[in-house]
Amino acid sequence: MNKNTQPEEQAPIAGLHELDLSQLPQRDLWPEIATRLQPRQRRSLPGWIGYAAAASVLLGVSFMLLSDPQSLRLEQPATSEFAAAARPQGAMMAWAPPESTALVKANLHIVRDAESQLRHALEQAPESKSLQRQLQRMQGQRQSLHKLMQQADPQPGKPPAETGA
Amino acid sequence: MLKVFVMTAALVTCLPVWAEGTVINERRPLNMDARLAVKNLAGLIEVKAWDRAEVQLSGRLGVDVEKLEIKGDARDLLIEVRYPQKMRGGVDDTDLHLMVPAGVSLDLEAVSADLRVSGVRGDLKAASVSGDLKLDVSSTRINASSVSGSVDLSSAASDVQLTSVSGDLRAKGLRGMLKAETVSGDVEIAGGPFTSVSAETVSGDVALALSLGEAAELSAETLSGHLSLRLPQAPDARLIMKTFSGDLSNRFDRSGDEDRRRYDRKLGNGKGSIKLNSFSGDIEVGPDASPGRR
Repeated sequence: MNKNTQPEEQAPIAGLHELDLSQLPQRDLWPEIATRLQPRQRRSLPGWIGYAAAASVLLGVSFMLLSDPQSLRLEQPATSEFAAAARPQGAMMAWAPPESTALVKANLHIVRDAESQLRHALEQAPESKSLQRQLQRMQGQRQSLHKLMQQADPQPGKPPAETGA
Repeated sequence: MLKVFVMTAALVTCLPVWAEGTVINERRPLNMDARLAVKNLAGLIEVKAWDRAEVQLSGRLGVDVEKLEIKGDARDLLIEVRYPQKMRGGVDDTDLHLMVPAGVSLDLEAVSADLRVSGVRGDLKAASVSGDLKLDVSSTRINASSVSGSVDLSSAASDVQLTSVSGDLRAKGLRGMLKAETVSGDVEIAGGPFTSVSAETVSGDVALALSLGEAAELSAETLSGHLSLRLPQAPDARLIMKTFSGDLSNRFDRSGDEDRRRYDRKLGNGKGSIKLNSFSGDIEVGPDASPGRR
């Protein structure tokens, strides 16, 4: 049936074209083939490379600790997760009187002004990590005040968020 | 005619009561180690501790309050002053006075209401936008924040975070770990021994009068504020002070050969770390002349 169907293709084995490929073998040939196959080699790195990598990391960390013990400390760990938890403050802002909203707005100006002062200072001392950190903190403050402002002026018809015990 | 007269008389009689708002007096069972959240927009939240397993709530609701909601159980209770959906103009003050078991964890939230807490020893979270916070507690962990209100804390707490935008932050008696951050408010801290202190302002002054534990880490930063650190004795720490245009002074070191913009010395055994940074503000380190105020 498949005989000479693709004469333009060159057969990988001489004389293969001449065989009747539609004819099924009379017995199961696979067990015999399987025994002749070489087990496949896993392509893995030699075991010593893993040990060498681990040793390098250990040496590197030890060196950093010995040369500067503070290098691995986190910047300003200060307080625990509890104390650092973000304040949920805000849902009540939907009821806030205009003077409270105006006050938040005024503080937003203070933060923006602080940001601009920090940017100006950074132009003069661009390497200062302290100023960069402070600027980042002001950006966070600005975002949280913006959030308060948004909660103070929710979309029409949208009640303040429900709170639960 | 008589009907109109009676109705008018009744209205006139009721008017003062209506104008003063509703008097409240509620009690609920509350476990000694329960969690209690209180939310009040304007007026006052005052919390005092007692040794009973219940909360007593008294005070007066503002005239525009929709309802006082109390929900939850003896383990976890919420008290919230709620207002109508559409509010216009000013808000009448609501004063809440609470007596609570000393061990409860408190979560207090306000907008313009002041917060006053005394005597409790459970965890404390207190936040207000423009209200002032006055906290005199035995809690171990405290998180107090405001936008423009001031925070006054008196406690031996060992894990504290204080935050504001323009409000001043003042704390005494603290120890352990402290983080204080403000934008234009002043920071004034007295206490110790601390293991970790971080204080940051942009334009506010920082005044620290404290003692440090062994290998403690202290960091204080400001853009234009004045930074002052008072210690009972010369610290066992590496002291680094940096400024761009301010002045540096360390009265523990009289060598006199210091750089005007950067100071980096190992003092004592040098185990601890003190980092003080300013851009244009002055930095001053010296002995605490008044240790009694801690």
